[in-house]
Amino acid sequence: MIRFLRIVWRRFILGLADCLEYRAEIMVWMLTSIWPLVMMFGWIAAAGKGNIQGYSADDFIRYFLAVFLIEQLTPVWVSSWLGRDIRLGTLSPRLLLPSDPYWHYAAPHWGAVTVRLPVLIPLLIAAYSVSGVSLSLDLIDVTAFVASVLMAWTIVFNIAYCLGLCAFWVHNVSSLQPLYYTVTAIFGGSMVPLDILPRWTARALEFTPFPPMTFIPARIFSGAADSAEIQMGLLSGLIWTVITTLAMRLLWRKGLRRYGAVGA
Amino acid sequence: MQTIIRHLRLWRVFASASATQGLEYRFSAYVEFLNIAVATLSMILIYWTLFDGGNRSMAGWTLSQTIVLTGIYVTLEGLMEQFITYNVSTVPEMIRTGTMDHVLLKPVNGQFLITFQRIGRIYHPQIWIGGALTVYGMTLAHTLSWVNLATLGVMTFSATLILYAAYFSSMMLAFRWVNIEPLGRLAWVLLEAGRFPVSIFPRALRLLLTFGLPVAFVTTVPAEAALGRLDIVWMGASIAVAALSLAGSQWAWRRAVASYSSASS
Repeated sequence: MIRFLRIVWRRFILGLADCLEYRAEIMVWMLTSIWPLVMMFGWIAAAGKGNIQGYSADDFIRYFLAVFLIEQLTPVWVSSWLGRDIRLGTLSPRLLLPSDPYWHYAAPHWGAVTVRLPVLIPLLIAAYSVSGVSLSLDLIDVTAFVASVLMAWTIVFNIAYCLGLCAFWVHNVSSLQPLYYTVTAIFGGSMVPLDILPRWTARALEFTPFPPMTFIPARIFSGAADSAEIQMGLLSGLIWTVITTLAMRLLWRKGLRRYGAVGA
Repeated sequence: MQTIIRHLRLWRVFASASATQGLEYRFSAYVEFLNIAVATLSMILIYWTLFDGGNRSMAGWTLSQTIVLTGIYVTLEGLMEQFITYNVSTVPEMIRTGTMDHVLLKPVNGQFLITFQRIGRIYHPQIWIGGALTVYGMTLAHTLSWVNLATLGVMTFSATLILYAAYFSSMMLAFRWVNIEPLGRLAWVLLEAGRFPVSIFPRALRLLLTFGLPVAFVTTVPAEAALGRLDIVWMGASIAVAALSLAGSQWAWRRAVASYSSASS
């Protein structure tokens, strides 16, 4: 176990070094992911002085700044990367390493988040002070938020990993990533707080892995969720973390058997 | 005139070659169509909620007026993917591997070749969906007329040129720095910030998005044209900004090529 943790830690350090090299690139990525803020201005303008289903302009600011933060903490680009490695056979050397390739792909993602944090936090504080919106979070909220973001990351990453693993069966999976982005952005709640949507949509979404990706952590970080909502949110996050992990392992086993190792 | 015909003929050859290539990956084509369908349907749902089925307006823009703007947004997204990013995004790879040599050695303008060599999915459905949305919105807003359609066409064309120039120029930085992919995102930001009319933004931001970054010219100005309330001054400004951007992209191309030193030399 300790050996395993050491390997994962080393992987993380490697990934971090890799990301530090491309820090300028990561900064640009960050600053160009402004569309939750565009949506925010849209909802603020629509709400005006009143409110929409209980969301006032200030609530929208809190919600979408949280969305911005969560989007920045859960960037995922594994599907096309893994898909390419499977297609071109460059997965083979990774199979010989002493740890599962999963960690190889995950580590740079953690590295990217680590590089983003020192910029992200001041940026968020600045955004709050410019908008003049207050935010009150107690220790429980913050802990719940951290837990929910960790689970959000795992769910987002595992599903993206599964999409990449589809390359064992179909040749070119690069088009799946944009579809995944679209679906998660909309049904995860990055464009609209899900509880504003028509009732049947919101109900249907409760049975999908999308709300734990953005909506639930965003509700927690905007201080809008009461303890019952937090508990339910964390529970559904946990359930989807387990389901997606199992699905990912299953696909990996099935797929590896079909692996032709191009060029071998 | 002859050069124009020659270039048009070249473009036709490129288009048919791209169409053949695109159909090769049928799975990808299906997924792309699915992506567009999901994005369009859910956007309708979100806008329906945002406008409360038309009972609410957003910074003075009614639902039908915003449908016009959204149609333009979707069209531009399609145009951008089909004609612009699909091609120009190959630049960093060409520089890295040195195949840029092939572009520079051909007896055609290099910028033309890079811009038109490949074309995304032919008849990219987004362009049609966007066009249909725009016309539908104009019907709802009772502004559908030939004059408005003509000005809309011209304004959308200059918006496309602005987006193209922004994307192309930022990709030219690849001649200096190798890993450039995220810089291409800057042009997308221009478009994404135009998802709503610029009047929804606070005043300071609105000024920045009109005079600093030409976001206003990308979607708001064409939408105003479609709604028949565009000032002649704005029309001129849009054309001027487009012309300037295009000239800028040419300048960026020349500078970039001047500093290009093939891959192996």
